[in-house]
Amino acid sequence: MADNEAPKDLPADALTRLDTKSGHYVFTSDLSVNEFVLVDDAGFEPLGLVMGSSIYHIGYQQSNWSKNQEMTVLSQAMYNARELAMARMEEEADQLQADGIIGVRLEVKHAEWGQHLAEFIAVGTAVRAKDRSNHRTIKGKPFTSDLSGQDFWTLMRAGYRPVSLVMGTCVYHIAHQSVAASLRQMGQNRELTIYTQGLYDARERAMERMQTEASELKALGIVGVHLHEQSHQWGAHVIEFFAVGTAVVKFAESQLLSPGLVLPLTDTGSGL
Amino acid sequence: MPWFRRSSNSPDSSGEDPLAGRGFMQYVAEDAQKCQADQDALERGTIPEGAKRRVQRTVSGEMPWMSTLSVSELFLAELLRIEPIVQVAGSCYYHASTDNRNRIYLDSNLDATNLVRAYYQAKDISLERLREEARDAGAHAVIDAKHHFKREDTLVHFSIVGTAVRFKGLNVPRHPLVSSLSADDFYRLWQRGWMPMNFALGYHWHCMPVGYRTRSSTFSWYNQEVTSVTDRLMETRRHAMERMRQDAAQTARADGLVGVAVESRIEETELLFSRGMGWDPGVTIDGTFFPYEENGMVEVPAFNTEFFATGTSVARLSQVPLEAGQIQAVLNLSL
Repeated sequence: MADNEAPKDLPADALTRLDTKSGHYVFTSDLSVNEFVLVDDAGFEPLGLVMGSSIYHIGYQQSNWSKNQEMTVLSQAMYNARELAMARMEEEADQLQADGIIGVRLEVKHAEWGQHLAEFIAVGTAVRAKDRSNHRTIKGKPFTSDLSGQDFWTLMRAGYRPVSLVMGTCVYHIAHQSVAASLRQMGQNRELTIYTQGLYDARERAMERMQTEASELKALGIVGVHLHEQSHQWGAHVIEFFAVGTAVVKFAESQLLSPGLVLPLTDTGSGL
Repeated sequence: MPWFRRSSNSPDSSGEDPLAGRGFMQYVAEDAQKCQADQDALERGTIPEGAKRRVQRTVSGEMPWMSTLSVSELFLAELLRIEPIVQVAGSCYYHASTDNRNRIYLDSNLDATNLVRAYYQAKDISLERLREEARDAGAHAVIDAKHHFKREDTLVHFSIVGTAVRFKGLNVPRHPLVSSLSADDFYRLWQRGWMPMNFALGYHWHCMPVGYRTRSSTFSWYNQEVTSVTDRLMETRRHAMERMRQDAAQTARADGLVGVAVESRIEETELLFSRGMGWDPGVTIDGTFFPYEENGMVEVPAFNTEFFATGTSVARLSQVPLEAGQIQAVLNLSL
């Protein structure tokens, strides 16, 4: 998509909000003052808060009671819905002619007013390089990252730059044990390998998908990986493994000085 | 006005598909044979094929590395000549022995030995799997290891995820070190001459049957301490911490424990006594007599006391910042 062409997918209200040439446009952002100053110092300026959302109906899939299996319908749903939210957010950033989006938060809420409905929201702050250098991904999309302003500054100073928020998800049904197997194991201390194997399979799938996304973007590595294990509303034997992190590439030598040892005297621990 | 100009039947929906150009992983159906092979691998004490493949593909550079380290830690790691290789994990579900109604057996001290063992087994097996992945990656250590314990009745689940790292310029040890501390913490400890050594667990579970005397004090209107329960919880804590010390010391030197998180719990329950071979009329619990019923069993009110602690053991190697040689020596020594 050319930079001056309006994305076709955005509602008119969003286009009005993002119209930088309207004469009364001011940038909005969810950066704290510290973050704002550091982003500025890293050579970027905030352009506006961008978001995308998707209300998604998650389909149904019958699970096989005694089998470890991926719930592909559900995996696909979680993946599609997150991608839709992200893609809409990126379109808003496109509209602002941004280079990238920092501080991306990706949330899932389960609506109380509808079963099997989930709301996926992606929010972040669109930024642009002040020297107009190009920081877009190899696919021509703005870069995205879930890093805070502080982390963004550190990353740029260390000679890395974020490429994209990458994720992998896998919804998995972990088998129930057969009655015979349960009876056999009752009086024993032992590992239940059928559960362990299911968990391993689910986790490997999620992590592999995340890695594949990063490798498609020719990233060097992924920082700040979080691995979430959630059950959502599918009961105890169906889990979602969700791996998310920021893919980075190296573009310059590190400019950071060696840090000193700082031990803060404020105790942040919570106790009795 | 439609919010999004993309409804399934409108003709101009042919425009921009936001998901266009995104490659999806193809979802492959499970292969029963593969599942079985992975299970067999777990039984043999090794790790499933998928985990091995991920480690191998990442180490060979085919896939980007990944790490749980935050950005500032990553930079610090570079400064410390620590190089993240791959994210590694280990998991285990362990079942403690029960009877046919899902009750656990207690030993003669009324400690739930089987359950305690299940906790330690789940942890040991998971850590061994984590180390196996780290060994495949040629790592010196696994840092920033986040663990997660869950117990449902008698089924204990332990998972641990961390980042396998290489210490540049040092020889790879046979047993990579595992620590829940971040690169940041490593830096601070090394600066003060301390070396993180091992992940340690302390756990104890004790069941305390109570008679009328204790029960009545929990029902009375007066302020008073229920000293017997307090005592028993302290006892449980003592056992748990003693085991934690042993657990830390069994593989490596431990001068202390840092980053310890503790949890304790007391819950009301019933304890079932059975007559066994003798002809006793019943059991006496702190002054109250509970006669056996016709089936030779009696249920006695009880309190479960549970104490749980995790942390990292550290060893003091020097009074000044550590040097590479000292770190190498420790890595070679650890079992």
